[in-house]
Amino acid sequence: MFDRMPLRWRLTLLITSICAVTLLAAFSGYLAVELIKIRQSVSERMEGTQRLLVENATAILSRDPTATNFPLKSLAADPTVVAAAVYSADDHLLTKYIRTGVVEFIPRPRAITLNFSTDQVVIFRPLRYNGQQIGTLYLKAEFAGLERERLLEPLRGMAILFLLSMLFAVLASRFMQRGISDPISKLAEAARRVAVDGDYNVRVDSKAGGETGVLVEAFNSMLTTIQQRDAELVVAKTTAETARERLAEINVMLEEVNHTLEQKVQDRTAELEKMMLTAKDANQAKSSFLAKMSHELRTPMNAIIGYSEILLEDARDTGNQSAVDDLGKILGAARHLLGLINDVLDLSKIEAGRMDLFLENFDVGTLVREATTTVAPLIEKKHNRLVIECPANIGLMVADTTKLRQVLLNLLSNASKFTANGQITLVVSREFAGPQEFIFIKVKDTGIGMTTEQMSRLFHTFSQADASTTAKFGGTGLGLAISRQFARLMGGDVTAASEPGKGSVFTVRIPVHVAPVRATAVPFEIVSSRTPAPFAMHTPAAPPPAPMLAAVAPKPLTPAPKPASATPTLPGARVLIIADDPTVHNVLNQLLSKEGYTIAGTATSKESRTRAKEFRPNIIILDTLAPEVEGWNLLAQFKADAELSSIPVILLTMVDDVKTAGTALGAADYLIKPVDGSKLLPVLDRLCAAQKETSILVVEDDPPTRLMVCRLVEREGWMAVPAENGRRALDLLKTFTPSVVLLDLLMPEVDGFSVLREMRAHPEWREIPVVVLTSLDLTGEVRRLLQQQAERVLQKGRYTKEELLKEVRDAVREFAGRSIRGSRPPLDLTRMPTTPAPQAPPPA
Amino acid sequence: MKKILLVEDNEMNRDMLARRLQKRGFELLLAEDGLVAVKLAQTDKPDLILMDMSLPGMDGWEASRVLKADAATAGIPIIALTAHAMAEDREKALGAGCDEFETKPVDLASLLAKMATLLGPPTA
Repeated sequence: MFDRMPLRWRLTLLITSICAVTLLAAFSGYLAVELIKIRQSVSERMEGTQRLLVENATAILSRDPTATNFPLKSLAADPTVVAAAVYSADDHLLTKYIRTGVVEFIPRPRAITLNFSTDQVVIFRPLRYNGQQIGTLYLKAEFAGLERERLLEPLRGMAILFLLSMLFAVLASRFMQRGISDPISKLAEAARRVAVDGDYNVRVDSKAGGETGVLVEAFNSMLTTIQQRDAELVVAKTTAETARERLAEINVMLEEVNHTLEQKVQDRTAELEKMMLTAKDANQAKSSFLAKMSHELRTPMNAIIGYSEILLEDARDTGNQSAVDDLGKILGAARHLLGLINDVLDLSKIEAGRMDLFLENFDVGTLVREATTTVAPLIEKKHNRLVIECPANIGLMVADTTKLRQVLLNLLSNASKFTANGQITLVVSREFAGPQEFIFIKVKDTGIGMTTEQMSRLFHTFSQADASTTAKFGGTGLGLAISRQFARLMGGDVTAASEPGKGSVFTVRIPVHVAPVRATAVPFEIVSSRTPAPFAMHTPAAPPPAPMLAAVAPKPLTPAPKPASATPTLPGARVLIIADDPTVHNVLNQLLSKEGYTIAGTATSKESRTRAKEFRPNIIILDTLAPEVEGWNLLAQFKADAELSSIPVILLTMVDDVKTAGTALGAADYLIKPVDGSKLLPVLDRLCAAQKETSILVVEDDPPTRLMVCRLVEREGWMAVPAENGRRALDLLKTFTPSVVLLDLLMPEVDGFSVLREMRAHPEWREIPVVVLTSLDLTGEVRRLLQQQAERVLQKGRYTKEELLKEVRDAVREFAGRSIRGSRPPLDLTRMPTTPAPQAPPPA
Repeated sequence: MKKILLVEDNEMNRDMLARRLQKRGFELLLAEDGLVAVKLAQTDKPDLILMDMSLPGMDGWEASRVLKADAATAGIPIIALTAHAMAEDREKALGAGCDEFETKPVDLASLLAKMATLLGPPTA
């Protein structure tokens, strides 16, 4: 109960209780002393009364032992005396006094006694005279009333005093305890609010000193600390929350980026796969077309050769010599054609990766004998001597006997073809080259030999030492290329060494044990090493000996061919890159600075226009990814600004459908990201070329020739813009106006005649000078027509390389500066052949 | 006189080869497709069959298989004639039971040599 009381009540109670106890103790002490004092005074009075009585009684008794006249009546004056009596010596009651109104029994005398009880005194006193008891006095006094009377009075005062004291104590305590209990109460209240309401803002407002003050202060500072902590916690929590949210956002962004990236990678992979498939398909289609064509060509060839032979036999039988001669020529030409067809079929099969090896175990000596027997008539025809150096124990080998025989026959017939009245030596040996054992077959001749330049083109398709060689010596020009591919297919090779006039040595080496090789696409080396090899999709299942096959190993996908010039079209041409994505800047910077361009960059903003005016770029590359609308706006602004409108702008975009919008707004070109050099550089070159004063459009489908002509043009200080076919040329003409067009006639897709026709029908292109460069043997009529429409017609076959270059140079020089020309007669389309018949090959 | 069955769908080739062989003293039986060839082989028992492989209807490979599966005709040597100068075609022809292989256009000398080997020494 007490424990549960509020502190202030407890304090009040405590103080009041202490006060009461103290007062009571004081009062009790006082009363006790008072009582003792009363008793003493009663006793003393009793003593006096008694002595008086004793003297009086003794005096009376001494005179008369039986006297009764004792003056007891005087006792009435003493209110305390209740009764008195005098006994004779023999204890006879002589007299007695009993207060009026009191019933009292007078006892028999006893021994001398003083009997003090709490409220009465009974005295028995012997009365002596001369040493003899002469009587006894009895006295009984009562003082209860007296005490009550005498005590009652102070008690009343004390009670009042007590009440007053208590009242004072309560009031005083209530006042004094405020200093103690108030702060504590406040503390308690504050603590309650903190605990129950969680309100840390409360502070105990108290000026209390001492421990309470310390407590309050500590409590307040504790609250402040907690609040600070709370605040810090809240801040930390908010920070954490923000960070968490940001993290979530970043995660989402990352996911998006990831997704986009994945998508991009997938797209690119799919694109690449598609490209590879397309390339593969194209290659396969080409090869199967060739194979089919070869097959289709064989059937009529079969008939031609067969009937020619029948007729030849008949003519011989009838002795018609002139018919025999003519039929012999027909048969020769037909066999040559058949040889070509066979070689083309072989090539197409090699290229399509469908050339399989049929490995057999056979005797090398036998093969050599067979081959030499076959070519013996050829060798004898040219009065050559054949020397065979083949060890008798050369032994067996595992290879494709048919292909090896073909290689041998090719080398031997070549040797006899280019050697007359000489010696052909066939050396066969078995040697180790590294860990592998090879059969080496050397075919040496003492023939016309070859120059280094001729050697370099030796193994290329359709390439004999000289264009005239075919006519002079026959052959398809495919034999060596096929021989080398066959040898390489078997893990070997064919190599050549020669000196003009001293003869040649061809060396075949084939492993003694040819490893089975799955059909492999062998990319052909074309005359120009700058032209990338066709896509090679297959890889050999069993890796062939590295050094031997290195040259024919499928090459990795090479990037698109670089433009003819390694330096930019306009030396130091300035390119301004406007993009918000730093990656775009980085990539383009790296790409273009390497190519010799001067680069500046800016973000898509208002300042990009200022930047463009300061920098005066030749070309602007604008990334439209960054808020696309801004890109468009910027493009529109550029085109609206007289100072900038002439600068061509290339748009970089993620989407394919901007072409219309971009070109409508005046973009010179657009590229879909990701942009690489193969896409960007030709565009830059073209746009730079358009800015150059003299630019030559070189339309030529043959890469080496195109490259050669471009080089020549560039050497003259003009800009060469290559186009690989007529369609491309017409596309390019839409983007710039060249000073001169150098035009080949025979081209895939759109040929030179069509280009010329288109150009002359187009009002803007009509006046562009055209120099026709052709290998066609033109009929007089066609030539005349061409000369009307073109400024000059140069025939490739008629000139040496140097002469042709000079002609081109002169023609370009002549027309490059020309701007106004005389009117041209209308083109007679009906008389212009679309596919001119090439000149018939000379008879073998 | 040796009896040769020439199976060839191309009229020109058939005529040409037939004429050249007749000139060299062979008796010629002609068939345009595999089915006729099989029937002729069974009824006329030629000494040798020159079989073009790409034929309409029953092709040369099928016809060769049928002929080689029939005891009555299994002994007749077959030279496969094909325009495909590929080793795999040779394998395929030999796999079908052909005894020899000649690439078109036919080199008569080579064909005659192969025929001679398969026909053995002249009997009559």
